[in-house]
Amino acid sequence: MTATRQPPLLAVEDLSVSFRTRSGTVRALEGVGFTIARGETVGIVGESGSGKSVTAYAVMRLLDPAARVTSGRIVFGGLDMLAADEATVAEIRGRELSMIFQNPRASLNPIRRVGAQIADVLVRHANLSARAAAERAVALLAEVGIPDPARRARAYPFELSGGMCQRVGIAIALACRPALLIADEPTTGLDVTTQATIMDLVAALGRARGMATMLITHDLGLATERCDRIVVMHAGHVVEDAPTEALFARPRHPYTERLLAATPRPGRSLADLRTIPGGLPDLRRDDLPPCRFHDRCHRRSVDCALPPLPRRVENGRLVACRHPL
Amino acid sequence: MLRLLARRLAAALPTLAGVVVVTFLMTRALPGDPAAYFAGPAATREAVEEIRRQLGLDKPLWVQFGRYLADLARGDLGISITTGQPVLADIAQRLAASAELTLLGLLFAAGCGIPMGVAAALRPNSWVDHICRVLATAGVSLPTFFTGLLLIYVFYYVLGWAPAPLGRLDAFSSPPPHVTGFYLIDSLLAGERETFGAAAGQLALPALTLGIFALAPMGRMTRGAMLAVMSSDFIRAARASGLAGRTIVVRYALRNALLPIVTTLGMVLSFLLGANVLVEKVFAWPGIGSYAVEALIASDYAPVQGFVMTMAVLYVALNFLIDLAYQAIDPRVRIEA
Amino acid sequence: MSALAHARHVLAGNPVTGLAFALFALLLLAALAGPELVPYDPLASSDRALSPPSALHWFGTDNLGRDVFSRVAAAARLDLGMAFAAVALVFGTGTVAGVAAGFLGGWTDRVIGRVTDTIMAFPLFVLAMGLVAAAGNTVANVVYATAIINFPIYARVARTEANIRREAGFVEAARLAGASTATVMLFEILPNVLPIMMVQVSLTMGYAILNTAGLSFIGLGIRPPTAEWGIMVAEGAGYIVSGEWWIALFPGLALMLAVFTFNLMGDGLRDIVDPRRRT
Repeated sequence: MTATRQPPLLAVEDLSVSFRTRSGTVRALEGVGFTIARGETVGIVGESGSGKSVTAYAVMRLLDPAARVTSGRIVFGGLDMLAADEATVAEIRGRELSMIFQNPRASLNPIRRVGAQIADVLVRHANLSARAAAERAVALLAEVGIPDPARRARAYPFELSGGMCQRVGIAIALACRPALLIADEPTTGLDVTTQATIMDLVAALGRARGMATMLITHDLGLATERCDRIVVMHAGHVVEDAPTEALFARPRHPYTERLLAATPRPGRSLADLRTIPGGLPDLRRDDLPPCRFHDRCHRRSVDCALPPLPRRVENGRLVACRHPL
Repeated sequence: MLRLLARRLAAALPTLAGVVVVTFLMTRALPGDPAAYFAGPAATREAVEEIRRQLGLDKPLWVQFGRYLADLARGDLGISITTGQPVLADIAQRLAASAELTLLGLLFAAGCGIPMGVAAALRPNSWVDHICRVLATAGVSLPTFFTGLLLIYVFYYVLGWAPAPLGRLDAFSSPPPHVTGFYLIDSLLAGERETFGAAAGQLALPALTLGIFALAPMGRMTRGAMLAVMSSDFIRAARASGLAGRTIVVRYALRNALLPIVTTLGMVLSFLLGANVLVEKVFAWPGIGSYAVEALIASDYAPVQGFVMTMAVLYVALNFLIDLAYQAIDPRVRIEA
Repeated sequence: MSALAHARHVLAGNPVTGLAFALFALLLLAALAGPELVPYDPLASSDRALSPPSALHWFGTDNLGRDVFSRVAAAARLDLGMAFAAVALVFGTGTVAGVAAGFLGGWTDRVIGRVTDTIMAFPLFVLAMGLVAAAGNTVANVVYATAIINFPIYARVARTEANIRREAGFVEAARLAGASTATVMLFEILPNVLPIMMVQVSLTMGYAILNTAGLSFIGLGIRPPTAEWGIMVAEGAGYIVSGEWWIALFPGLALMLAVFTFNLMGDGLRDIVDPRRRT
């Protein structure tokens, strides 16, 4: 996507989120910032527990009641999401901004027919009558590639396969033609062939509507295939933000390099894969080092005692490291 | 659909069989002389022997069981010593009174308990939640007969709002023409508005007593079920679609929460049918509960047995209905069966 | 964290449970020493009938001039005693039956399941009425009937617990060491199941008290002039409509207090034993 001088569709600035739990405060996100332009597909990549989903829920304002946004701004389409009231945000959700989830069947109402669930969104946002919404729901099911949509609209989620449930989820999410789709690990629970078809579907629909996509995944390979730009997260920090090809060709953050080395690729054998030592730090600690990758990093130096604030390196790239590659 | 019904009915049969066997054993196989029981406390020795021959109590147990089954099939539940009528006739006469009372109590319990539970679940750990939980625990701790007496004292004696607890109607009204046996319905059908008012007035306190008792488990179950459902994935997804709060709570969450709530109804009904007996005694309600209690005091045994049998059969039937309701709500059970 | 320290930690965070334990101590005192400590003889009538609460008679007097306070306090022994006897009985039989059903499976499970289902086919209080009426109107039979109607829940809980632990490591180890089935059941499974069953005991004590009181309210079990909360409420019922509220109120409150205490204690015990199941 050519970069235009338009303001970004989504701008996350210096976002910090904590959770109060029985065993302490978890500093789940710290200083997270990135932007998504209209029509752009951005991948948020990181290990489980790196804060990717928390970021997505923060953007949607769907965080757990135990979560506290301690700092930062989220601006979507010019609206300050954190300051807006619930009614305004509820208007936007499902209409301008929507989401698909990791477990497609669990994300659907188990005792409601899928056609009705799509129609609910249409009635709510597109002001359609019940009958018009029902008809449009069938049309949407066809658009997402479900065969015999009129009959399938009357099915319950438990009667559909995982892949079909995800298609229904996509139909619901895209029903009102949102500007941004957040896809939280949309294919993790599906088999490999279905994964590819679902991702193709999302990409095709996105392209046709000029929709931006925030793809959250732990699979760097998937991200490099599908995304224009990749934001790498580690333990609640953004560590690198770069166009896909540049990231792939020359990672600047030690963690990104490690991730790439651990990602299977055609031409590589399993023996070539290298693991990343250690694990995510305990985010409840009071004595977390400013760089949360510090304890696992092979490039740590004396400089690393200072906070690794994100810095521009080349055009369009950000790295948060005191000692980048 | 019909096949499913038949299958469910078949599943209820072993339970019914168990009920029949147990009620039989309760009269024949327990310690004490059954003949003396049925003859009554005032009977002479010859009368007792006469009863023993009449009821076949001198025959072997399995012969007696066969006779028992035959009697049941004919609807013969014995004769009441105190009323002199067949027990089945007595019960049939009084059943509607108990049914009207219990149903109203259940309606009140559900009508208050479910919204209370929803409110508590939507604001966990708020003062609303705490009040609901305290009310629930208090409701469970109060003996039903005590609640009834308290209500009578407050609303009849002190405030004078409620009529005297003398039964289904006050001294000035007469029963409406019999259609269902439910005075509320029958009086409306006959257009007798004063009778309706009188019946409703008499029903208020006893139904409230029963309702308070059942309110607690219903409220608690609703709260628990709603809490569980509200934290599930599909609710989060529904919120992500921007659906209105009320749609999410009622159409998405509550309907799913209804499943465990309906399952609890079975247990609630067991309590209600038992509490019914106590409430009828407190309010002098002419239902089958007070019938059994009066018979107990008079050592009139056949009505008690008939009462236990009737209640058990009713309970099995109601559980069957609950089962059907569950299937109506949950398509997974319906379709996968 | 030791069991006692854990218990103290939970109590500290939940003062209501602490209150429940305090009330339980009070009830226990009344049950153990009540009849000896009361100011008046619970059975002694006087000519001061139907007098409201006063400095002389804290809870007033009933229609025979008996002191209500003395009767209420003395009745604690009987009510709590009957409930306790019933619960002890069902705890013993229900736990063993449930463990056997859960551990051995097969026919044992099926038979015990059938018994449980048959009991549960009846509205429980009605069944108790029928059993007492059939077996004879004695205190012992009320206790047995209360035990029987509580049997299903104990058997069910014990069965679930035994089922979970059936394949556990320590069970395998015991079996490999040559222990017989009975030994494994008694010495490995049973001790593990006991804590959860104790929670159940506290929860059903309240229900057992209500049950025995309800049965005596309708004339089954204890008979006048013995002091027991249920019949005291029954005796006082007739006087409510003429405004003499104290005769029925105080025994009723005592009942409520007792049941409330055991319910709270049960909740508290459940938090200590198995915090995952908190409602």
